[in-house]
Amino acid sequence: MSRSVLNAFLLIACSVGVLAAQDKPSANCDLLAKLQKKPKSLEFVSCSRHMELQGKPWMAIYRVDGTHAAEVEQFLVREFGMKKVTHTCCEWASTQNSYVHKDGRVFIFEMGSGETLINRKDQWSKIPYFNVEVELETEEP
Amino acid sequence: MIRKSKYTRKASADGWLRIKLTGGAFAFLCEYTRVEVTKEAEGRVFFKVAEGYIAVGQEGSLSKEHAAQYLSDNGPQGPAKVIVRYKGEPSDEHSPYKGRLRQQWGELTAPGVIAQVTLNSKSADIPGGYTPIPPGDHTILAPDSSHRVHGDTRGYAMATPGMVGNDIWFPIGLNGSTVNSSRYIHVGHLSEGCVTTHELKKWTALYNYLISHRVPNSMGKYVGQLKVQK
Repeated sequence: MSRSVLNAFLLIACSVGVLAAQDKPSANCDLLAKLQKKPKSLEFVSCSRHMELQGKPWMAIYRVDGTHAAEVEQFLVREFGMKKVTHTCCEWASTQNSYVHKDGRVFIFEMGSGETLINRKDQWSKIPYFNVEVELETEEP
Repeated sequence: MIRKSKYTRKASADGWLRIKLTGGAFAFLCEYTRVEVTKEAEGRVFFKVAEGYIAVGQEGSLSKEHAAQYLSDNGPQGPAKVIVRYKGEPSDEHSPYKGRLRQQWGELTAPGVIAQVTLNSKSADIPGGYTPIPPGDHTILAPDSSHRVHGDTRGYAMATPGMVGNDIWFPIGLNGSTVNSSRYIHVGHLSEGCVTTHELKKWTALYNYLISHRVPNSMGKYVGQLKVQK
């Protein structure tokens, strides 16, 4: 079931030209928009397929300014079971969050600040942007 | 039932191996994690994650093809030993990645590796409240989770052809503790009291050394000892 759904997704993606532009940024795989679960404050940056990574995932990249990052974090925790963003040496991050969609597709969610010396959550507004990555695996491990 | 110990290898240059957990979700294992193979079925190799910090005790699987590529019979060597020596007073640098920083420099020595590290970073804009790692004998722990998010350590990897393991950070337990202190051995130019391998081209050798060592009888949780000297 999950394979057939995934294949259907890729067929649709191909039909709108996504696969013809492998490894090039594309607006056609805004994964959160396709899931109809995209916070307004989250800005789509790019999407490309990463053949060098295990799972050959589509990787959609988003960003949100620090002022709205906590809202997006809460949304991703609520909708996709992402772990809360925590601070470890030099960065804020929540990584390797695996989400199994009801149709069997597996997505990986990550959110983080990149390296920063801001170490208090009430100062997130001083961080220009948080990055959010959403991966859709196209091959099982 | 077959039951055989195998040890993971990375599937991507960042250092992680993705496995499918029974139930559908994925988990990410670092190299040299022991798994116990239990069966082969429907083109997949099933195993129980036996050591480390991630998905321990859970059943996972890989395709036969990936199992052949990424599960090895060869386990880790004994404890790693790393020495870090402070180098003088903090001084300024202009990092091509992070801009102007005041760095507490150090020199890291491990078998086959001598690398410049930063033990603490401060900027004029953000004074920060961190202190360099204190002198003493500390515990190097096995990797806990990914620390990558777009625009982070991948930038160092992209700037350093051949770098592997950029997304593998080794937590430090202070003064012999085995509790993650939130200080890490990792690659980068910014340190909040971590041992941050500033000399990017040295990271791969250090990563390969650390990841291939474990303290015996530690369930794969401890890599070895970090001795810090002033």
